[in-house]
Amino acid sequence: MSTNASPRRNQRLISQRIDPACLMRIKSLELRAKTVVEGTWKGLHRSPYHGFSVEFTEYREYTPGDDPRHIDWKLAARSNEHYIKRFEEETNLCCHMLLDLSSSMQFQSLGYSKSDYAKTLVATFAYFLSQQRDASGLIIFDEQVETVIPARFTRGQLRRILVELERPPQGSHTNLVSPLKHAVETIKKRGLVVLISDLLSPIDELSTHLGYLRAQGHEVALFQILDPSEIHLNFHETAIFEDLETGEQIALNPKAAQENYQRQFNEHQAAIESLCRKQGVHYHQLTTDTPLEMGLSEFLTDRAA
Amino acid sequence: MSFLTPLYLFGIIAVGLPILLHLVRHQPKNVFHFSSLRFLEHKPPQTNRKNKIEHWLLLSLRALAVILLVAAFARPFFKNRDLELTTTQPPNQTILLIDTSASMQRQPLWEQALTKANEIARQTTPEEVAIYTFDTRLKAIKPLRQAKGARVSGSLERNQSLLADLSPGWQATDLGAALTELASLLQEQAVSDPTGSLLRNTTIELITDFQAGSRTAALSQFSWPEELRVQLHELKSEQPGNAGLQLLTLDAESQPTVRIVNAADSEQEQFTLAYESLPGQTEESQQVYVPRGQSRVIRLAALDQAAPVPQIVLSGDQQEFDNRLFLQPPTRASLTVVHYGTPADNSIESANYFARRAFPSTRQREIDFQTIGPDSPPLLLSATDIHLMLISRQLAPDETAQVQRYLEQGGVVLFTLHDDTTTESLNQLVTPAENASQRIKTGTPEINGYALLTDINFEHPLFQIFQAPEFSDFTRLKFWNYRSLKLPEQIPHQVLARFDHQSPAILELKRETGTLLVMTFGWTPQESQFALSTKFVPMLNAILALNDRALDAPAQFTIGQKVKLTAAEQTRQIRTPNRSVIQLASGQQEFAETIQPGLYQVQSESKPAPGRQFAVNLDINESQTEPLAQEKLEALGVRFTDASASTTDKTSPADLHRQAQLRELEQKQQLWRWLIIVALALLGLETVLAKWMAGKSSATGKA
Repeated sequence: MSTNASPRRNQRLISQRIDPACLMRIKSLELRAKTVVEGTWKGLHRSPYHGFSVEFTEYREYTPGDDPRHIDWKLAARSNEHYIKRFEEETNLCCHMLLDLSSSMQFQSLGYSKSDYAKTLVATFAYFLSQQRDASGLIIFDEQVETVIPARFTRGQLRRILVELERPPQGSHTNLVSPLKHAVETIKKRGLVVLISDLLSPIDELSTHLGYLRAQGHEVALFQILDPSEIHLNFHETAIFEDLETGEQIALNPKAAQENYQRQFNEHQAAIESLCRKQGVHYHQLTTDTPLEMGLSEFLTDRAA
Repeated sequence: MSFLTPLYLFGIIAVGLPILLHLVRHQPKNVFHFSSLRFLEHKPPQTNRKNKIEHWLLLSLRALAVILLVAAFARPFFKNRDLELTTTQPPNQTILLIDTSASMQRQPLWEQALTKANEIARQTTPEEVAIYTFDTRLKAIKPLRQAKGARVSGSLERNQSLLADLSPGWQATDLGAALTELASLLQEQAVSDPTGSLLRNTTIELITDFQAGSRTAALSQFSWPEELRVQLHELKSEQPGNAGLQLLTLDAESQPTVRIVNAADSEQEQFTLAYESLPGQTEESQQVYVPRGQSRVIRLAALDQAAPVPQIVLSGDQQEFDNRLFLQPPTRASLTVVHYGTPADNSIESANYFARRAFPSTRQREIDFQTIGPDSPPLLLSATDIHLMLISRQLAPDETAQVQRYLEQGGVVLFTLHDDTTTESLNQLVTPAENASQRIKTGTPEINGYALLTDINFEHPLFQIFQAPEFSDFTRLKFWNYRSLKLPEQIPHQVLARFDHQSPAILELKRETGTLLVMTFGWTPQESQFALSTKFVPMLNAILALNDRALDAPAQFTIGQKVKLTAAEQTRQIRTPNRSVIQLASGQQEFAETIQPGLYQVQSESKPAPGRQFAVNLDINESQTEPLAQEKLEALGVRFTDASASTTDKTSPADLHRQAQLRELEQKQQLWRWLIIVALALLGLETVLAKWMAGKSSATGKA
């Protein structure tokens, strides 16, 4: 979907973007997220400080049972009458991010792994959402759900998410079903669910669970993080290839195997895309050499559309 | 060329390795970690197997190095004329080592030992049999062949008659010493034999009751030869168990303290201990309970000193050989001290008063103190055995001659100087009369208050008892008066102590065998504090002890112990318990023939009166008759033969000998060292060549 964004616009963005390789050299995740959100991206978008959440709606007379915290005391002082000041809901968005940190995400060919990239992406989202006073939550998974941070819009939420992201990866197989199942069961409030994974595992049951999420009224976005080498299998040397998840080894001449690989990979990608289309899921493919703001802006653009 | 270890030549197969490595290369070595192999089809890569050899030179260098290494391991050598392989079988030897200790007196051990020894002698060629016996010492009955060629003539009959002449003695068992001594003898014999086959073909046939009391300490210091084997023939008594007696003390009251040891395998635990004056007539019997494997100490009733000395007999024990203790109460020494002094009884101004009291009679000794005054009848020196002479007055000429004669006989004389008259006597004693320049001069030194002793020679027997720091303080001993003495240089003397004015206080002059001690002071309270000090009595008794005839002679010995004989000047004979008389040589100081238990009597030819007696008893270790564990000897390194191993071991001694010679030849030539050096050089050359070739090929590749 977003891969088909207008070329001119992309051109403009690319010129002012931060090279992901430079970004990854920054140790602190928070600083990376800040750099992305407040750096080049600033000015290209509406200021995040004017969110929708602080919109005033009405005054209502105080009735017993109302929370006295919400009484407008200034008005009470002036008029000796108690009114309740009502706002629109403080958060208009509740975003759950499902991050895959399985072993296959450890793959790297550019000096930083897919998981590094994905973590930065999550941190960026979380930072952005916190700026907007939106609630954000995080579920980290590999074979099973490892970490769950329920969605909140409290002040420490960003810190909690960043701390979890900075934990060293455990790593094992990918199982997309269990985090989605967990999300279906636990996320009651309608909102946005963002799944970030390389989606290199079988996707047989993915459709069902995405369907459940959609049926619950959630908006679902799927970010597929891939390394450029995975798309094209651009290895030149004959070598032993070891599967990061299973440890299986095969001796391979990549040139000979490339054609077949490409075909199977493309089939897999096509299957994912068609699935997303069918379920109404926003699908974004991000390679690790793509600047991060692009992912963010495409996402926002896509949502706004 | 021959090889010592030709089986290593199979290693030549390793030559195939460099060829294989040369042909098969470029197996993928790199490992890529990839996110998922789902989309990869397993296509094995083409391995670059080369069917032709590119670098013949490198390959041949590598192969050659491997061949040389393999050859080095196979230990090659050239057979030459030096090698004269003997095919004759090295000689066998059998050594019969028979225990003749006291414990072998038990029935029927000795019969068993002889039967076993005869049996072995019959099975072996008579020339190959050597016979040794042991108790505390190893004794050769028929010694080993000393040289290779020399053959001791022998026949079965002779061997059997030699064995028949043997009988067990009364000595203790020193199994360790016997085995080590025999092994050393065999090692000496095998020195010329590099193959070690002589030792390998020697068997020590150890025939013993193998009792726990055997001493094995000598083996712990000895490294037992690897090849030498011992065949143990352990003899078993029909009645196990034994109890033995040991005399611990026999004190001055003639009251013996006895230890009873019961062997661990005994059946008896109740014994009776009694004196036996006449055979079969026991007195003072006492019941003793000794648990098996333990010992008890019993104090018996005092002996009646007037009656003849009985033996202590243990009854209730089946093994008779160690159930009897022979006693010899210590004799009360009778010593004579002669004082040439002024007899003035009960006058503390006289030197005699203190000297008499310095030598009291005790239970151990009886002192006969004789004071010879100027007017006393002359002493009959020949009739009296004098142990010490004290001189504190001027001597008459005949007395001087007597003292001189006494000194010549090895006597001890203490001379105290009081005045010029005693100096004159000393001069007569010490210096020849005709030479005036060599005379001893004395004088009266000026003393401010008192003089003290310094420079005391604590090493001398006179002062040895004062060596300990708590006794060595002589500063409280004050001398008001003494004689300054100057001895001519010609007279050899030793100053044992000096006064603080450096004048000698006590001197020792050796007169042939005798000792003359000179004190330049008197001990009466007018002259010094010496007689009243605590040093006086010990020092005078130490002077008495300088005469070795005055020493106590011990009277209890164990079998094999050497008995020190006191006065050595007269020819003596010793009557042994079995009534035979051993004549001793004139200068003999020790008697070592204590080979059987009982009472020995030293008789002097000059004195027909009964002389000194001493008792000899068995070593208590012989009473520990429970069997010794064979593992104990094995732990000390002794190698025993197994019945199974002995047959296989002796199959091919000629082959072993030949192999040993080959090994020696190979060790002389040491070709393997050269082969390894060449192999290393080839590998070095190969490395250099390979590097050079690699550089060349990469350069061309770039170009």
